[in-house]
Amino acid sequence: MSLPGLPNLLALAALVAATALAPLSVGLLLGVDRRVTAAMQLRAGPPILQPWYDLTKLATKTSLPVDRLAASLLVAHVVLAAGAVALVLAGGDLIAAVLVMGAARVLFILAAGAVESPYAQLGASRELILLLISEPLLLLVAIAYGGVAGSFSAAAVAAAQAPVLTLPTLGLTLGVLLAIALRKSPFDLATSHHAHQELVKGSTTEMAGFWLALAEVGHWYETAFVLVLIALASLAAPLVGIGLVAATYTVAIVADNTLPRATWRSALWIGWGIGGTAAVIALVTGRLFGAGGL
Amino acid sequence: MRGPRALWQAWVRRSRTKSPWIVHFDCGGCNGCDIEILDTLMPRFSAERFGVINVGDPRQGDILLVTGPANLRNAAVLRSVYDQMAEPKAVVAVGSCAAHGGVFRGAPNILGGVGELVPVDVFVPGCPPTPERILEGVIAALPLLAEPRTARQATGGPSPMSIVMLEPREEEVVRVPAS
Ligand code: SF4
Repeated sequence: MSLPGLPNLLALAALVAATALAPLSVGLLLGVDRRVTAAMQLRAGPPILQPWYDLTKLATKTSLPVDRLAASLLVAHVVLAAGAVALVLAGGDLIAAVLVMGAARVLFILAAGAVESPYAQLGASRELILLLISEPLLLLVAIAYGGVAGSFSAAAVAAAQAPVLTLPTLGLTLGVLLAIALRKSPFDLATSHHAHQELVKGSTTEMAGFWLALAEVGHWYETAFVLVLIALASLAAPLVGIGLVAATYTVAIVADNTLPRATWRSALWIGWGIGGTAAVIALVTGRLFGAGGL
Repeated sequence: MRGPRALWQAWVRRSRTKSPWIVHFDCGGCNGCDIEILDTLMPRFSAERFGVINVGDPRQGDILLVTGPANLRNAAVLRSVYDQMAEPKAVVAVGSCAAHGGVFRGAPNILGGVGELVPVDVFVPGCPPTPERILEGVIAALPLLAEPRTARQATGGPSPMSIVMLEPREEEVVRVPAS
């Protein structure tokens, strides 16, 4: 290989490292989340590293028999989800990344529905509803970014000066997306570790040990994807970005604690009503005032 | 200086003992113990600070909390729940019924304590035990989760059948008044 290849190699290594670290940092964030939630309920809460402990424990359990089809679908799910995050981190096309993430989630739904347990299948169909709520919103966010930056490439969006300031309402949409990615509310769709969902385990009913760990990693990638999208909008103003993430996260936790019995219908209305409207407003203002203006 | 392999193993052992997911199975006692277990998992006693999560699927569980006496009716079910759990796992028998049949001992359908069917690691005394005691029992089982049962003996860890008996406290001992 010629010498000029070296920077490319380094960039590739950095990309791989960032993609590998993304879910781990999400795990840490979820640990903090569990502590904050516990504090709101006047409990001590688990250690901040708890999600990492859970993941390690699951991954090192002795192996259990697993449905072959579900297992291969799960592997494909994680690979695609990581690919979607890597695509954004590499500055690639946002629309493509959103579609790849959507495909990854469809693979997870197929994996959950591939087994015989009625609970897993119920969970799979509920995941489908969540996908129905969040996928159009993700596309709208990508299009709004594109309107501001004049291009759908993540690199161009990051280079555009603080799209988050041009698109103030987009924060709401991203908040809704984050809440969906966290899987805590609504309680009849939730599959998180917080003990208040209707199904003790839905889509992950038949997954155990290493395979449950894989599903967890896929979920962390999905959360990382939304967080990276938020970060993208605020690269030029990191403080605004951190504030935005903290604010949306706090709103998500408070909403989760105060509306423990919100159902999927309210999720649909809040998601499409508030998140969708905010995204459309952002899209229009972005087109009017952004680099790609009319 | 420990090598990366030793560090990884230490991390794995730590993770396993800090993430006890609980499977709760009622063999058919009076439900007193089960109410106390539900209490234990509620915010007041905050079992989550030890990483405890109540799971509905034995395949995802680490600690089997059994209440009630072993009986003919669900012997096969208890055995199957136990067999579905992946190593490393531990069994905590909660209450007198699970220890030796309790008030049901001697009834025609009763086999005795759950130890007749599954290898019990920790016995929690009481009828019913308080939530603090149940939590104490779960914590006593944590070190057993560091390694699979078969590996415990080989590495000199707690033996496969090491049994922890929580000592009854003064107030838990029933004394018959002298007449
Ligand atoms: S030990 Fe006592 S409280 Fe527990 S199930 Fe048996 S009879 Fe009920």
